[in-house]
Amino acid sequence: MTTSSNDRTAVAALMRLAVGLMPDDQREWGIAMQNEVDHVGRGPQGLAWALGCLWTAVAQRLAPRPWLYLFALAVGIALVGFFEWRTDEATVTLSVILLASLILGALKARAFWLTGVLIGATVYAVDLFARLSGLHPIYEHAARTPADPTTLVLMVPALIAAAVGAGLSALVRPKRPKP
Amino acid sequence: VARRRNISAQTLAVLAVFQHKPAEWLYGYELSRLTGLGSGTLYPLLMRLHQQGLLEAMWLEAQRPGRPPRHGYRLTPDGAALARESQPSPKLALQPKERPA
Repeated sequence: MTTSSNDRTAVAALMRLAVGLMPDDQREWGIAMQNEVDHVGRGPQGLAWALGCLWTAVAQRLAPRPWLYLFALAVGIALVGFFEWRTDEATVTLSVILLASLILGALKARAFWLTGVLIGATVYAVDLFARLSGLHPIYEHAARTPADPTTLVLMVPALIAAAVGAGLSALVRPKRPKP
Repeated sequence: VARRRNISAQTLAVLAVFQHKPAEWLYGYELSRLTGLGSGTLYPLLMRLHQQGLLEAMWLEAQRPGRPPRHGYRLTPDGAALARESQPSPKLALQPKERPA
């Protein structure tokens, strides 16, 4: 195979992949990008075009959707609550808070503050629930004393982790042009 | 359009090209060549303009037989109004790349 035919094969493969990755409702755009390849030319230009199209398809596929963030936020809060209820190891709960905040911050950078506040306040919410319901975590022998508002300080590490996640996602994702 | 929107330089460049050729259907590669934008920047922008009703897209038969149809683009009346409203400043003037079509 010559270099030229290798390039064409690679470009064709990348474009097929891009079309395949496009969400169903945007498949037409993938085909539109693919059909332009003939006009772009061979060599590095064609390859650059194909890589850009592939990136477009990946970005469209991974574009954050509100329901996805809300679902992940609910899972994050549930996980923090679960570990807070099941263990009295503060480091475990703190680790879950940091991890959940980091992931959620990366998932929806613009809502990192919401992530930090809600994930950070979960421990206090669990304490409050225990107090109001009369239930208590399995590692406690009696209902808790009044919920301790100082646990709200956990919002600070949660906010920091969410901001780090948001920053990391900004580094990885290219800037989306604003129409 | 009541007030000027926060429009990126890339979008301004694309709008400027359309404004120069308001009646023509323009193709992706042509737009890429005229604006200097790569496909990874251009297409998400076109998709968003289309989604917002500012751009219309149409499949057009290729001029040479045996070639696949091409997606052509032109501004809708709303898009044309936005292009008029957001006249690019001189420093955003287009810098076409010297590449063969």
